[in-house]
Amino acid sequence: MKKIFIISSILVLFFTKIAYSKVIDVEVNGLVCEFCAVTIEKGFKKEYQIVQKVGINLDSKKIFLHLEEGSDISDAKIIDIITNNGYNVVKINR
Amino acid sequence: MRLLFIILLSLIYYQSSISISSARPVSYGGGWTLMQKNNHNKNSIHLHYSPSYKYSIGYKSEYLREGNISLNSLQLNNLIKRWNLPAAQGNLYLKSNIGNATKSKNNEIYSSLGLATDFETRRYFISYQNNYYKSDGDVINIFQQNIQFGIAPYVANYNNIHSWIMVRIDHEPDSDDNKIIKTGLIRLFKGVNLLELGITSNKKLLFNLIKRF
Repeated sequence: MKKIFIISSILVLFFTKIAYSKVIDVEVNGLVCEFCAVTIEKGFKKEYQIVQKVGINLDSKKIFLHLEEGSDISDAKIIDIITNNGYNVVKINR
Repeated sequence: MRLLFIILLSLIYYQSSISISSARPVSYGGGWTLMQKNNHNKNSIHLHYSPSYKYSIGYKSEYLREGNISLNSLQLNNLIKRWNLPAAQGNLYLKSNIGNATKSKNNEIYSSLGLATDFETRRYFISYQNNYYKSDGDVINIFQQNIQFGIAPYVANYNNIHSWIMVRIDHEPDSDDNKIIKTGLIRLFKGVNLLELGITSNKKLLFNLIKRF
């Protein structure tokens, strides 16, 4: 009984943690340094109710926006945040 | 040699246990930056706040060993132009100061103006900056410029330690002894912290530390 309780608790925690409903990837120009990535990540922190996590890959020059389940963010808002932090959006892939 | 190795390892550990940045004079909107720089002739500390990525305002204190001059000023940095390319970024900044210059018992108002530009890919880096300092008397009237080249021995992704091997050349035409100084240095950065450690051609230490909040 104790084992079942522990296993089910772990499963609940695991699925709670990875329950992002949607991931949007955005190609960005100028994304060449560690600090560029920090800046963009901080830019999306203000949208924490929508964007749960920001993943950044400097090799592909892409950012990955993991959205809260059931929520969405417009292309205009994404462009606005990235532009206001000094970078240019090339393409948004949904 | 062993001590140098231990210090280097400690610094690498320090850098990996916190996080690091780039040497640009403007941060992200709402960001604070603390820059502490030391080279063959100068010690400086600069704290600034960036309301947006386009400009920053802060306090700067500098000590110039040659001439024994202390400078305390308000500094405004403006990003004049940024070039965002698919695999590179370039920036042009204007830096201006107004404050107090002190030499012996002379206190004078001074101002300085400078341009800073950088261009980097994930593998190569080049920057150039200059500064002209002038007080309303004869405490200070100097021009300084430097150029810095860098190459990354490996290309690191986000949240890893980024390393650069760099060469810096300082040109100080108004200096009596050190008109041209060459410095070999390493730059390490990760996240919001940056460290530069080097040795100059006149065997002085270069030590720069930048932290953003």
